Amino acid sequence: MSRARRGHGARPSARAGFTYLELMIGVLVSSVIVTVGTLAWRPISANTLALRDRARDVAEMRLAVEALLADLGGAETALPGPDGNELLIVREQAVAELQGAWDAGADEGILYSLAGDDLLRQDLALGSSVIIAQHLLQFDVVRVDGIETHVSLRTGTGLEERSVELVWPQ
Amino acid sequence: MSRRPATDAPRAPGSRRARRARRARGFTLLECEVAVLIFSLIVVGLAKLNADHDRLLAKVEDWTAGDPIYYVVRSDDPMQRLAGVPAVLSVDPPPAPGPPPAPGNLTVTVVSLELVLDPPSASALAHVEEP
Repeated sequence: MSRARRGHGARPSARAGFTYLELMIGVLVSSVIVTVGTLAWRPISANTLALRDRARDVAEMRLAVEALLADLGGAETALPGPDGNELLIVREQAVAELQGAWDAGADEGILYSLAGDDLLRQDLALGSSVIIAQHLLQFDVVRVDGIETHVSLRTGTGLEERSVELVWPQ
Repeated sequence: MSRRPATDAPRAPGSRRARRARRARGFTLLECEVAVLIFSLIVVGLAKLNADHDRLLAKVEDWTAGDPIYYVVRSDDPMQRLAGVPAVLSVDPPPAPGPPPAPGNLTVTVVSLELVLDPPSASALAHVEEP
């Protein structure tokens, strides 16, 4: 039988496939590549997740602050609620009347409280309740010297911890 | 009926046999360099994307840097408060309220009055004098 008929001019060993040694080397090289890829992927993935969490936390805190500012814009008083870490905002009479919350010569107010890690806004006069922000770890309300109300918000943990304090100076 | 010649005669460069022969030689240094270059560009692009994301996020959360204290300042205009204008954040404490008005009645003199039917509106120029 001629070489041309057996293997189109190639050597018989080259057309017989690969050897066991070649297979082992291939597996070893592939394993090293996969291991290095896994080791590199882990910190990249952790960093990406940390960035996502930071973005989410700061956005949630901004939502909470903006909601508070919207209600404090027409507020008469903002005092700690009856159960501690709650904020009770009572609207001005004209604002409450416009919103339909003025009843029996008074406004029952808007109560902000932390339920788990959700900031809850309850309009006691209108009977509505909505979650304003999530992933908040702290919502403290303290009256200082009888002239200021301090509201502290905190989110995130460790290096990702962010906190702001709002002062209602009335 | 013709028979195919069973010889090792050279084929045209684009034939299947020629392509198979080229594959059997492996890859050249230039091909390896191009592959490394493309891979490097991909890695650098991903790293830059991550760095840009980090920088953008730092700018977004700049207002929370250093555990700041903000004063809540609402509008002085009662009409704006009635219209639902939100309060704003200020790093400076608001000025202390002014002294209470002097006892007694204010003297208000309407200087001019303008009434318009269409659209219905009214405007007045008044002079206020403290006692």
